[in-house]
Amino acid sequence: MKTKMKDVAVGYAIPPVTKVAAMPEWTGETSRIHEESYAKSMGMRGALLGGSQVFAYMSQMLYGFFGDDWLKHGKVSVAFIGGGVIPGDKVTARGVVTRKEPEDSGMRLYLDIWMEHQDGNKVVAGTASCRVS
Amino acid sequence: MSAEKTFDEIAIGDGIGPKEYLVDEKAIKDFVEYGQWDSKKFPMKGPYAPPGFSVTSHARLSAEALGGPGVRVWAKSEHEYFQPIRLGGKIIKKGKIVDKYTKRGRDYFVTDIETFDEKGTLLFRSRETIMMSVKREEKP
Repeated sequence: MKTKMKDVAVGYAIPPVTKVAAMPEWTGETSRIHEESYAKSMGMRGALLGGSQVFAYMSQMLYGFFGDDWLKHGKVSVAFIGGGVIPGDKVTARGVVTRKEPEDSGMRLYLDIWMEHQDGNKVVAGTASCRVS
Repeated sequence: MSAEKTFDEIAIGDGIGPKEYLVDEKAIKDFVEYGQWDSKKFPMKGPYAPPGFSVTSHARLSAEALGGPGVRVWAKSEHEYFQPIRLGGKIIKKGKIVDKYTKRGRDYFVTDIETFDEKGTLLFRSRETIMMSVKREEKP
């Protein structure tokens, strides 16, 4: 029988999401930090992916776990750390349930979330929570 | 795009937007490509934009307030979801600069941006900290 979301245990690792980062033609970004030559001149490994693109990777993990509850009751806080993500990086978004608190008619689940490079170094760290039924 | 403003020219309280965005098939397709959204593994269960869609416009929107192409990096951000963004309509974004500070030689701006539907319902709220990646002493 499928476990109800509110019965998920503290310590549960939610399903991770792995991506090989790619720089799309359309970025919607305006900063020069997304230009290869400029980024390298600033000491970066290459053109940095936009934060909103990296956030989209995290969002797939969170929507995959919480479903439509995430669209109404989701809260997320992230910091971009560790030199960023460049095209070709293999990154994995992960999350672990850290606590649960009753909220209205349901339960709010709190998670530590992060994203790590293939070498294990973190490039995103933060928290997320969502009220589930 | 206007010339980049200096740190002193940008004031706490300066407005961002308002600006309208279409939530049409093209916009969603662009986001799916941009965010490498795996629609088979993570299909949307309703007629909604994938989460994260709304955030993609924030860099450009904030850049309009800060002026110029600049060299900006997202340092951190907080987002809160209230209602799904429905396909086929418009969203309106507006916000303001709520803080600015200098730390270790770098300038930071903090923005609040809210996303509404056409009826004025709050859908999504963001607070983002933007780091100007060029240190003051390195600016030409």
